[in-house]
Amino acid sequence: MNTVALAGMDALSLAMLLFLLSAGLSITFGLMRIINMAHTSFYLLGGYVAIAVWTQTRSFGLAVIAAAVSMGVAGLLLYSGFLRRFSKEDELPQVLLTFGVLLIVADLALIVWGGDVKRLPPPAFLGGAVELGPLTYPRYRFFLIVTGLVMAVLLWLFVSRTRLGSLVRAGVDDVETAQSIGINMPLVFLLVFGFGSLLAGLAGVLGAPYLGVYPGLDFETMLLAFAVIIVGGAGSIEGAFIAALLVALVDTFTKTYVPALGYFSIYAPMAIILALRPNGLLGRGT
Amino acid sequence: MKGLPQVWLDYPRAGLMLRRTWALPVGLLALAVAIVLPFFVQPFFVDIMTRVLVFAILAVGLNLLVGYAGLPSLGQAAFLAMGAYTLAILVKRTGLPALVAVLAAIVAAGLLGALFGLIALRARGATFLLITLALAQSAWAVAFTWRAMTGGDDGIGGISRPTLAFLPWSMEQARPYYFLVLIVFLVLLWGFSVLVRSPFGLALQGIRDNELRMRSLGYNTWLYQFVAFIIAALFGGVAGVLRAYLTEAVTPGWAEVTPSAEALLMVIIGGPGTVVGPLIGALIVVPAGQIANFFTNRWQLVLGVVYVLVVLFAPGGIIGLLRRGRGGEELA
Amino acid sequence: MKMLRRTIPAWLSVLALLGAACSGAGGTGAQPQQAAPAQSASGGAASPAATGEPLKIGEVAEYTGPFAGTNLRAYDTLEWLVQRDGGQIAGRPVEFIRAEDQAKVDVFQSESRRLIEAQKVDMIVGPINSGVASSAQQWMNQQPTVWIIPEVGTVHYYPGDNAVRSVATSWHMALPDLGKYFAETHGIRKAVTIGLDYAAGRDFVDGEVQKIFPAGNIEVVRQFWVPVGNPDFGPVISQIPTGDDVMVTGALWSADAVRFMQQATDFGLKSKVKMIVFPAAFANDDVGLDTLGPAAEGMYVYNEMPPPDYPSPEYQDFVKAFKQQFKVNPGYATKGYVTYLQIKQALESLQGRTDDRQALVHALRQPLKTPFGEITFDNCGNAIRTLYLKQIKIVDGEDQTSLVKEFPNSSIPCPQPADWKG
Repeated sequence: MNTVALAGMDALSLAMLLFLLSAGLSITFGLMRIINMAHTSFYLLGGYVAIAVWTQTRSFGLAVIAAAVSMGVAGLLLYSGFLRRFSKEDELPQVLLTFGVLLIVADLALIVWGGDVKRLPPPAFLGGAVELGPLTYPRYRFFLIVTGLVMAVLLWLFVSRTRLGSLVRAGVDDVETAQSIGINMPLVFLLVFGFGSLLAGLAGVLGAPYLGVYPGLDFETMLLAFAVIIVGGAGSIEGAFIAALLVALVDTFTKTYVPALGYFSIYAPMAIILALRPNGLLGRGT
Repeated sequence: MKGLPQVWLDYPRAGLMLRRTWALPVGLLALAVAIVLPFFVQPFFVDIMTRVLVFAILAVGLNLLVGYAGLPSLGQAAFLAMGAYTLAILVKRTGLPALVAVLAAIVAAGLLGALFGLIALRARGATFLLITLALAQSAWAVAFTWRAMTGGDDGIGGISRPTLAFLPWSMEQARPYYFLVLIVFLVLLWGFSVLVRSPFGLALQGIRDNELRMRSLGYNTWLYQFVAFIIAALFGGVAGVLRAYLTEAVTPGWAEVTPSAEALLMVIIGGPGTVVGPLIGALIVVPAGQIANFFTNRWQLVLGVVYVLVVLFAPGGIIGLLRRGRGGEELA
Repeated sequence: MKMLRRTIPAWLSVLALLGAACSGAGGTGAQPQQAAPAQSASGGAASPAATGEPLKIGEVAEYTGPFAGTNLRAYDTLEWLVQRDGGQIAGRPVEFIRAEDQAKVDVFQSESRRLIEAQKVDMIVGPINSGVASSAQQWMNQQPTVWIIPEVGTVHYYPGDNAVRSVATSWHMALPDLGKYFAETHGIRKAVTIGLDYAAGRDFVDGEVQKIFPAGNIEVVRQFWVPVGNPDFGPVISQIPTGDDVMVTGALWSADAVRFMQQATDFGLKSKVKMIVFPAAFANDDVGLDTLGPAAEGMYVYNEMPPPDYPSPEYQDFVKAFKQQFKVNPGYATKGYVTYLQIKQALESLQGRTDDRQALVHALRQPLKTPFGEITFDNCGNAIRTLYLKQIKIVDGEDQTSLVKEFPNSSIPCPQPADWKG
């Protein structure tokens, strides 16, 4: 029973992290049909930037803000400088270009920060463990779970209750019509892309005390992130949330009880879902 | 899937133009170099030339999907890995003669292509691309995790090249093996050019240009695309077998998304929708990787820059550039 | 033209990146590095030492990626030691040529062949990656060169007639004496293993299970396997049975080890079991240990790398000089150190001649005197090493391994077991 409870908590914390990472990717893909292979580069860079800022200032809060903001700006730059020129049908050029960016960022990070695993210590009040009856659980993971849930609610509120959110939803459903009724879609695209990258950077800094930051993290999380948006469907916050939960649960429980399956535990269910519902569980549009 | 970029749709026309003027002398010159060069360079360089041909075969197969069927796929490397691993397992663990193992490996790759096609063809466009990516990564996961079968992270080593008793040269040497691969490549290339000009090939291109219209004309478009998938996978299987013999080992990294992206890059650089485009692409990408690796520790950075440059300035590949230079319309 | 102007920012950033790439080619690039030629020459008239013919040493490994840190330590140390000695070995000026293998078999083969055929190296130090070595060993055996292998930890590789390996492999580590020590000195009766689920990880854990635990009558109560790159040890840690007679061991290194140490500390594991002990590259003084902080304190590691406080005056001299040069304590660097001593001893015994490959391999396999004991080689080309059990302590605010006990005579079976397939 203890095992199940602990595994479940671990799955939750991983799920929240995955959700933060994938939410931006899901909206971007749903809205703009952009397959951004460099999305997890923002995750990686967010972690590194956070560590650099923390090393100078010893402030976790500043590190979080710096990571999120810098990645948001980086996203704006990437989109306006390189991705804006492509239209919806140019999947291949987008994939190749963002793949190139992924390689470039990976190598630059290696040059600047080297090959060692870097850690970001959580702030003192979030460190250590909490005793819950027979269970001991790290406090920081509670923080992750809570933060993730709060962010999920905020994002959902934003998309479904605010004006900008409704513009985004309109665009996900039908860009041409949205444009024709006067919505400035190019601006919406730009803001959404920037915001998605900001979320990735935020996930990066929040994940740093939990997973560490090291070369190859971008590739490892890329597969998980794409699994989430494939399973959950593109363009849907709820879908990303549910999918993140599913993926994290499958991953964590498989690792606990049947470790031999390893990575396969994520990809097989994903392939099955794809075979049955190509647009994902809650995906919209083609 | 909605239309491809206009510049791609011009390829068959561009290819036709080139064929009339340059194709023969350039082709003959290339063939002459391919035959003569191995006698003037060191064995490690001959191996690089063999690698180019192996990847060209992989890229030609991918081109059928990408350039002729209009289906952008990030899963081609999985077929290469399937062929390579099947060969390795059969050769090292069973007493099957090499020829049987080779055929079985190619068939296995084709079967994997059928599986991928069944799953992926339920979607189009960007979703299709994502699905091929996911499927390819699943294949990698199997190769990496199923240690009992695939050797896991270590892969399978010690695959000896077959002895062709009827030839006086040993395939263990770089040059004889190169010529073997060259012959296979030329045969496959010729077969491919026949295929794309056949009724099947023309129908496939018609589906690429306007699937709805082809369907209204009574074509079973899904079937054509499905067959294209299998053929692309068969080419991948051949490439896998040749690569396994070249390296005398197989590793799970051969199935990852990165080599798939490289294959895609070769197709794009050379020019999709042309027969020789992938060869040109392989001629550029494979040695570029080696050279980048030689000159700098930052080969990853250089390759990334190449991807970006190609997409920004030559989205139609070399042939696209040539066409533009000859006063064709602005195809930006 | 409009299109050109639109793309100017792209051009500029691309040029900037290419500039960064080319300038990054400097220090550890693949260009031949000429060590300062020596003035002295010794040996007979016909020896290469007298003619000053350079000794070309190829270095093939992965210099980028996650293992770059450890690999670079070994090679940088080797080159630094040669430079300190006047840039020569046995009177011949030394030229190092580095080639990147990206830890891929294809690239490893291609680059090694380039070094052999185009650069005409006398020997190659490498490979380092276990996967590469085990899949390419048949190929390696056929190449016209000599392989000096400072780090390939898998038992699925045996050196061919043209190779020598100076590392303690996974089976090396599994000394029954360790089991007895854990049981007698620390009262251990139960063991929990956490192993990386790939060849090298499984080798180490299997070795422990088969050789260490039985010798100390230690019962294996749980075994956990995690995939390489596993982000979350929570599920594992929460299931570890606790107790005063429990040790946690297995096979973890690199990013996984760091994460484990941090998460184990978060979960309070250190106070719940008697000992946390891991073999091999779990903690290296010169790579990554400095970022850990208090998380690593109190944990143990055992491998063939002597700790910085090893009580030998000659070794202490080396540690001091190393620290001055590289600003960290040597850990992985000792592999470069051993390789240097090995090449030096072999070439001096041959008066600098490298034309007879058989003789060179034979000389490389001779017993080697080091400041931390003698290393001998068996008929299979594998080294017989002493293992050092070390505890991680905080010294001057930094993590450092400290010697607890030495365990000599750890070796891998020779000849190879009958069912070993190359």
